[in-house]
Amino acid sequence: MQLFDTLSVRHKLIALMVSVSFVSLLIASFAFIKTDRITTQQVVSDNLATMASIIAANSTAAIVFGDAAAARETLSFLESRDHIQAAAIYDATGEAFATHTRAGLDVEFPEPDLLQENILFWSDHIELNLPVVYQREVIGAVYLRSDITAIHQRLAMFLRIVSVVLVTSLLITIALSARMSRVITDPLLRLSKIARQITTEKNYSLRVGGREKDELGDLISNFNAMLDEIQARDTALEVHKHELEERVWQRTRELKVANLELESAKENAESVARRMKYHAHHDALTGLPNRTLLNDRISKELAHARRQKTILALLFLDLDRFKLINDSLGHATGDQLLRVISRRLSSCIRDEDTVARLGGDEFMVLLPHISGSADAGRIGRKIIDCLVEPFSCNGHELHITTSIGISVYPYDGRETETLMKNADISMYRAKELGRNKVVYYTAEMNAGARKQLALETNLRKAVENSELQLHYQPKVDINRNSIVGVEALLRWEHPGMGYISPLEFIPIAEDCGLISRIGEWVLHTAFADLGKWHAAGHGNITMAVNLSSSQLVRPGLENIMEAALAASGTAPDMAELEITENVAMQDIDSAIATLTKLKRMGIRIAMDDFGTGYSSLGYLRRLPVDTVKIDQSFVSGIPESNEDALIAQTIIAMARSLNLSLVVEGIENARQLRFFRQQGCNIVQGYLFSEPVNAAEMLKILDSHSTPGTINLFK
Amino acid sequence: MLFACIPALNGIAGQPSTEYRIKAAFLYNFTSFVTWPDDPAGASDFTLCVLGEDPFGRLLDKLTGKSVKGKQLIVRRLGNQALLDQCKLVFISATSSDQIGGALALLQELPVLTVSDVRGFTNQGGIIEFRIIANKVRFDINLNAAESAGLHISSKLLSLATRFRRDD
Repeated sequence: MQLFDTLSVRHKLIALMVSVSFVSLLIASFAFIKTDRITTQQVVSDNLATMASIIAANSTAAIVFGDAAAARETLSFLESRDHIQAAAIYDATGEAFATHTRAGLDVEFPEPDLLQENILFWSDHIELNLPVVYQREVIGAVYLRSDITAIHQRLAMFLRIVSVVLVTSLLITIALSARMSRVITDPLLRLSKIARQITTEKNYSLRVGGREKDELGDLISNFNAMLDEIQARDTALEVHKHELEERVWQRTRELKVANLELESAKENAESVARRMKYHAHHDALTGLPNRTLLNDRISKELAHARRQKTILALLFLDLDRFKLINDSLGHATGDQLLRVISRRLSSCIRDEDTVARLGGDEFMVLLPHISGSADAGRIGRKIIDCLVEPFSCNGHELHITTSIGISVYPYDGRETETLMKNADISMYRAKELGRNKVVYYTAEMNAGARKQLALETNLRKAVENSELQLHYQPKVDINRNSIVGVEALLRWEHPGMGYISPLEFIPIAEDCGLISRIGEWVLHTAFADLGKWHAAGHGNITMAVNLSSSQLVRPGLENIMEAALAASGTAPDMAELEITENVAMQDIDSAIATLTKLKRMGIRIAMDDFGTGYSSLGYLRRLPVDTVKIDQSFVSGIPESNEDALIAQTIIAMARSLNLSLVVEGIENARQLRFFRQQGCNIVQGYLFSEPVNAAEMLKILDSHSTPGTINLFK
Repeated sequence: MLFACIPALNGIAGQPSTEYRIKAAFLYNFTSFVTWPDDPAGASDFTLCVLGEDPFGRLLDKLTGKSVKGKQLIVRRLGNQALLDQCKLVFISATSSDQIGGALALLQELPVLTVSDVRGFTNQGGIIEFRIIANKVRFDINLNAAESAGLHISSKLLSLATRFRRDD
């Protein structure tokens, strides 16, 4: 079969036809020979039976009369029959009394079968036994033995004929099929030749010829139709190809350029991606972890703490009055300060702790591994100590204080949000308690925090609704018994909550950014009132207004003052601005700069509550201060407390030596008045003379006491 | 077949000789190879007669009742020629050899098969004559006598005859 596969179609066809005709001839020959053999055998046996019947008929008398000679006579005709090898006639006893044997043969005669005729075919002979019946009685039998060479010869002859026929017909078949197969193979060869030619030459205009009307004709016309199609496409393709090559050449050039760009863009993108990932988790300014990363770490550590039944703490850290620094020194300095603080914070915590910047001046420290709540407080204090050292930033030396609130898992909350909120609340509490404080969260703080939040909301409303008022307290010259000026004091009368102290709401105003608006309002209102009074004939009255620290450090205070004075039509030398030690000390350099500008305008500067802070005389000397006010905290102890008296005397002496004027505030009784009169202080202020009153009341007082010598009638 | 019975008859002492046992069988077998013309009288019997002393003893009696040409065989032993024309087959015993001429004359042209073992029987006009040749029972046939008697003798029987006469 493998060999068959390699043959050409033509040879396959020939082989097919030849083998078909060969097989059919073979079958026919076989059938023919077989039939002939059967027929021949039949004929031979029939002949033999006929011969036996004749012998039997002719030998009945001989048998009946026991005439062996006659019987032999009957058999004698067999002499001429060459194929009869032997014959015998038996009598009724089975005795062969007449036999015939072909010359040269030695044959043994068998016992006859007297009952039935039978015929036996042997390979080389046939035996026939025929009982002889006479008068319906068996009187003997005839035996004949014939060779079958005739059959063999006949067979041999047939085989020869068959072979000759077979060979002849095969030759004819081969000759015929060789011619006939061309009918099929010729078109195929034409197809194949053209297909090969097209493949090698790429010439799609070639076509296959032929006049066949059969399936091969269909194949050829379909092949040609396909070629038509291909040729059409090939032509179109050729055109496209040219266009495409043009375009490819162009694009390749563009691509090269783009590739180079892409290469660099890719590098950029990769570094951007790295940076983006970093920025997603880190604060851009300080490089500290941001809120996202912190939340992540808290969640992880919380899960760990839950499993391990350990505790962890969150420290909420807020820089006090950072906003002031930002406003006064500019954002660049503020940012620089934040960077420096961040570095210092990172260096003073343990490696396993996380310090994150939440935004603005707020930081959060996660302490995942602490053995108790006390550890958190200890680390809080350590952080504060770290930040106490001054920071030098853009040429400024800045002092920073911080407030820290602590919440501890699991006591102060079990979820990240709760813990962070509670740390925040306790930080506010720390701020309330003063600077550089560390406060643990307690459940009550929640209420406090809510109150603070309410206050902030109310304060905004108060500004809108003009709930804020200015009250004035007169300053009296006890030598001349006359009012020389007033101090403006801010009051907030809340419709529901009543009087709220400036000590309570001013820090809130500073925190929430309302302070500048309030401060500006105060200045304008105070000097507007003063203008009215001057117009009413009290032209010698001065106006003292307290400045908050944020007002002092924010640029443009001189412009605001200028505007306020211009609007009221008052002279700058009728204006006095009071600052506190702490306000000045926060950024001494910018304070000096601002105050100097104001002073040049003619505005007087007073140092409020001198002696309560930590400021040194050196600082005091550098400030362009005109007046020192002795704080009421010293005044209230006089004359009982020698210490307070001593401090007061020292301040007075110092003021005199520095050539500063003095104002004593908080005089509540005559003995205090007498003490300071003895010390030579003539300008005083206090309840002894008048409580703070509103503008209208103040005008009445001024009107009624404009004449000297009537001061005693105050009370 | 009677012939087949010959060996069985052999060893019986005081009985007719083997020769006559064979001859008796032959007599009977002859009827198979001879055709008699139709009997106008339509006799129902086939009569086998012995003229003279019966040399077969009681052998022939055994043939009585056998069927010959569809008729019953009966045996008659005749002392004279009076009833000869009633016979289909007559065996003329040697003891009556002197009567042969008369008998044959009587039976001339009558369909009666005449058989004898008297020498020259066929020469005298008898149809079948037993002979002993090489110690075997053989017979001659006078075909002319048979034909004139109106009998037809089968060629098979003729082929067995040692010789047969045919004049003309």
